[in-house]
Amino acid sequence: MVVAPVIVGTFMTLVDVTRRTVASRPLWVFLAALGAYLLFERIRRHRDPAANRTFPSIRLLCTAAVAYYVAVVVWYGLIPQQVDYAEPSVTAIAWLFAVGKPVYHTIDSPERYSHMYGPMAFVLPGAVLRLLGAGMLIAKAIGSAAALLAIGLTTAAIRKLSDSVATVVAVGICVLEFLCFRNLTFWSRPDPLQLVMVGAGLFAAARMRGAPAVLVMSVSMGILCNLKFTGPLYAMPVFALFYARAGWRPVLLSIVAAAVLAVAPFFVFSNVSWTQYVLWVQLSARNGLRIAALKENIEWAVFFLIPVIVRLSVRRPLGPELRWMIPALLAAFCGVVVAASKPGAGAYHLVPFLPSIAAVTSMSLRDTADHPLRWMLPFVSTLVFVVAVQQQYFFRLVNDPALSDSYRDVRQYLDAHPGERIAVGYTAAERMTFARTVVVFATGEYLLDVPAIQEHQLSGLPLPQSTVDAIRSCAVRTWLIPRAGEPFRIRNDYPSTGYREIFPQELIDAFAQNYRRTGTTRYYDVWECSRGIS
Amino acid sequence: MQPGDFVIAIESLIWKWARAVWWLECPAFLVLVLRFSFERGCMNPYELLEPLMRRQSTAVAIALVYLSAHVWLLAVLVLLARQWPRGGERLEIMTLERRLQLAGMAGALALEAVPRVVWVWLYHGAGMCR
Repeated sequence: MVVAPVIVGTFMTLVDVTRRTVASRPLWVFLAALGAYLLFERIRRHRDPAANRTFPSIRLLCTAAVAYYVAVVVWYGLIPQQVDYAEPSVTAIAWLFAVGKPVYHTIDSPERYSHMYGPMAFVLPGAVLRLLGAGMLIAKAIGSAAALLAIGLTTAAIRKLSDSVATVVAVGICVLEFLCFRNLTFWSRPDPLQLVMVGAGLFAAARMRGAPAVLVMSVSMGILCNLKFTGPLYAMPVFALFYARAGWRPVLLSIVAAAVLAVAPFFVFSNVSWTQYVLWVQLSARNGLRIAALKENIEWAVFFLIPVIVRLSVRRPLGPELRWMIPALLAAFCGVVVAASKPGAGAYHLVPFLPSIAAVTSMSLRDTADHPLRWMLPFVSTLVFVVAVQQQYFFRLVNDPALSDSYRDVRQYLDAHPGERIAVGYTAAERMTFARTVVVFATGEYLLDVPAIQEHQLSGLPLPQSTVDAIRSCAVRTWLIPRAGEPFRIRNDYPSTGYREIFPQELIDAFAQNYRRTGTTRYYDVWECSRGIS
Repeated sequence: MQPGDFVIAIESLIWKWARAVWWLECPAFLVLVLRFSFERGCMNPYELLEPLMRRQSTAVAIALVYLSAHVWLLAVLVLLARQWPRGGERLEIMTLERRLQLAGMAGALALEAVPRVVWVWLYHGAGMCR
């Protein structure tokens, strides 16, 4: 009776250690698996020279992976809560855009929520929220729908470039790679939108011709370049495929149109400022790079590129598509590997390349058919191992009753206090602040976003006096502060900041002087402006 | 020009590039690796060369040296795999110079992969951490 929980606890600790160590180094896992497999094959062939390899089992596994991916994307979309620390930030800013507030505030503004994502990361979800109504399910559906559309478009594109078996294997490998990053490809951040744009670009390049192809390429690549400043690098292999199939004229035309579209939001929307955006990007560019992140990115990059490396090592001429796609892919990878080494970034920035790699993989399978399983079985086994470890962690994150209850708790408070200027404050209980999105939906106001403030602090930008003044003047009437920990006592997660306190003592003092705890809900203390409270 | 000739020309170009670049790349990368090993053994192992990596210009330069070493090794290994004789005959393309260059770069990368615990033991044991 007592032994069972101990065994389960020990097992879970082991799984967690594996996730943090082995599962984040897939290249080494692959090399170990490859060595073991080659040894096993040698022994097997020695015993039975006629023994054949089991290609159909990989096809079956890839089909199962796609089915699992679709199921988990739909399931996550139907849960009205977010599990990543920056998901609430992006959704909240998207809603601010929808109600006409600036996406990038000024450097001395009391509000602190500007991120360095391109405007489309907020414009697209903001438009959907405006159209269908502000709610968690709508916000979540954007990521899920984008992920499903991305995989559909990528599959359709790949099917045109290769046969059905190669399509199943390439798409299966692609979704397994997606799942290595838990819910990244279907969460409420720009990543699913990037995947849709890459998928649409591949679709246009592979299946369309003439003006419609140019139109789809221009729109998808324009949005892709706008979502993150590394966008042009993700577009390179897609344009390479387009060039191989359509020639230079349509490519040139779509590059020009995409460039125009990429800057259009700054001129079309009055609440999207080019000057402020450039300022925040420049500020973020000051953060430097990390060797540890660079090393990890290189390992992930080499791991993802294994199908490409295998193809290159085969002495057979490359087809016209591969001749252009592979160099473009390799050059773009080098750029992103370096850019993704800045503090806070990581190997997940390589994910928008995966549909392009899947296209290359599908076109290469036939050429590497005489020895694909030497790498493919260890490769797929490594992916399955990493996915299993990461997905169990993802499910544990989602299945946190306190997290889902916190949304209900905040909603109940909002319903009981309509029209009040409420905000969710911060303590060390970070996950309890995720429900702040619900408050932003109700109030259309957002004073403090900790993920943004952390980045600003990392760039050496202190909290301005105007923010302290906003606390002093009770710009927010009521703060819902998670009950664990002291209000606004929270440390920066970036090691290079020395894990400094995020909020200055002056702000904490201003809060203590001007707010009084007047009640509690299940998960939050209610702090109200002390002016007017007798 | 036949497609086969084009491939041969590209391969020959990459060999030339690898040969020339090695003299710049390998010593620079080796210096970096040795410095990293010291910092891993004696200082903060998570923020290597922090003062230089905080400045964008030096950070990008160091990152490029670090990345180029990996690209060099991968490119040479892919070329070797492509030109590997299938019938068991001698690998003509591997001249002594190429063998030494490959061994040098692979050795530097192997050093970079050594676990931190080894450096801690080594540098602390030698009394080099002050």
